[in-house]
Amino acid sequence: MDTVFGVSYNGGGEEVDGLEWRPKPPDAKNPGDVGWLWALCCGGRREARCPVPLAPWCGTSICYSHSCCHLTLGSKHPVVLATDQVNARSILMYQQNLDKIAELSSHSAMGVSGPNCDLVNFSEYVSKNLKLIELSNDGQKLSTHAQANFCRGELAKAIRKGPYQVNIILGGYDEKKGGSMYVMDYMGSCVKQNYGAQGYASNFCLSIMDRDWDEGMNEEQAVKVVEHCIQELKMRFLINQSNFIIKVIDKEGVRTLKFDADPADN
Amino acid sequence: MHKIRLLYHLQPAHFCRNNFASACGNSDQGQEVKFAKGTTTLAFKFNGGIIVSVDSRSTMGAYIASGTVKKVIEINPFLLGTMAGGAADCSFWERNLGIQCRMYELRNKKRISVAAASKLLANTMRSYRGYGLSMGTMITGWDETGPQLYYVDDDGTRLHGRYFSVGSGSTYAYGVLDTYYRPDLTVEEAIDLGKRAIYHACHRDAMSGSINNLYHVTKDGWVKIHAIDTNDMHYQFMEEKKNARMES
Repeated sequence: MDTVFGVSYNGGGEEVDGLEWRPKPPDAKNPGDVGWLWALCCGGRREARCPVPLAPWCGTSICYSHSCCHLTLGSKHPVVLATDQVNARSILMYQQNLDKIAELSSHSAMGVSGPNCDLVNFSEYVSKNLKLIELSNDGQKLSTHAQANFCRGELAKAIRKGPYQVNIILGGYDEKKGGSMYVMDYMGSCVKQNYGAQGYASNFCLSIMDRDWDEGMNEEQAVKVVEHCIQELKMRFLINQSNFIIKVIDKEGVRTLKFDADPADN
Repeated sequence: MHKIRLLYHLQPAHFCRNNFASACGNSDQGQEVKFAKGTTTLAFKFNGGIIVSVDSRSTMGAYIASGTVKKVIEINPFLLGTMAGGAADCSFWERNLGIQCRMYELRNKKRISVAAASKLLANTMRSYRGYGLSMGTMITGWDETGPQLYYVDDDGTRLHGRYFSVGSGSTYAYGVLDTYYRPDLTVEEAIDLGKRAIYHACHRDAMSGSINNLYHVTKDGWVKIHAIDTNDMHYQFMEEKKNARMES
């Protein structure tokens, strides 16, 4: 039922040149874990290892780790994230002033949809761990790309043992690259996109975004696209989602642009 | 000497998963053992503190098992929990919460906040998710930050809000609450609202009824305000309505 969508107006994508599986020394405790997956970037000059050891048959859909290098892109544009503010169960709506956009660091946030329990726990888990990584590396911030891959790594880890039932759009702003956003589902697939919507909302919103999104948009125009989407949901979507919250991430950091109901009003 | 032994093949976790856990979603469809439940509980914050108001009926299908159930659980002098869903789960886990809160006090030499206490319970619920626990509760109290109210349920949801109602009669109670709730109610008005919301839920919901227990939480802890039969309330309210009609 939840609605999450985001718009980033940054063209292009990051490239990983290749994934390579390499065996690791035999381990009596974990006979199944026989190797690591390595990602090669920048024509093989930089490489990074997937944090989870894998058997060779696990395929190449697994992530590469956050130490991967970043390609510089020209765009400096911010990201707009929006979610509904409703928590409902069966026929009852419990609350409609929630803030489902978790702020992960000064320059990144993720819109999360799913059962309240998973939503809260996953966003707390991710934001606190990202903070921990930041603190234990002399305050060095992770890039949006790295944060997204950390996030999907945790989703992928959880999928075999009682998954977090959350769909995520993670957006962030990096000094050099500008804004970028990643769309993830609960199984851990992660795609870098310029705009995206999840859940039932995608049926209504993707076409609007396809129609209206343009690479050279400014903030005002991007927010307008999101508002068109919200308007469409209010008009056509059976489930009443009256309240939405919109956040913008730009070089100043994360800021709440507008909301229909104040999340602090409890 | 007698030794108590569990059946050797009986693993409690497996047993719960196979017999209590619902096969899909939040309903008990596909669940081997169906809980018989039905309740109305409500709590709301206002400028004069918090009102917690509950019914006292316990049902097993069409049978009223008890009319004198204490659905407000006094966790400690500053914390109250309410009980909806499985009585055993509620009373057990809120007692367990009481223990955790007391341990916190002993370790930290200060009272636990309502936020932390409700989070402890939500974490417990989360760790047992899928095992078929049945609990819908409101954790209320007064801490350093003032009056606080949280909703916690068996699938780990934890919400902070101004007013909540839980149970089969909650929709009826919400109807009255949504219409007449204001933050600037006086204590008398608030007590009356809590009482009436429960009465109207008991009137319409077959699984709720009997005694209305009502608590008021202030900065000095909770006080029990009354325990009134909702049936008596019915005749009293009817009488009041009739008198008002005759006066006008």
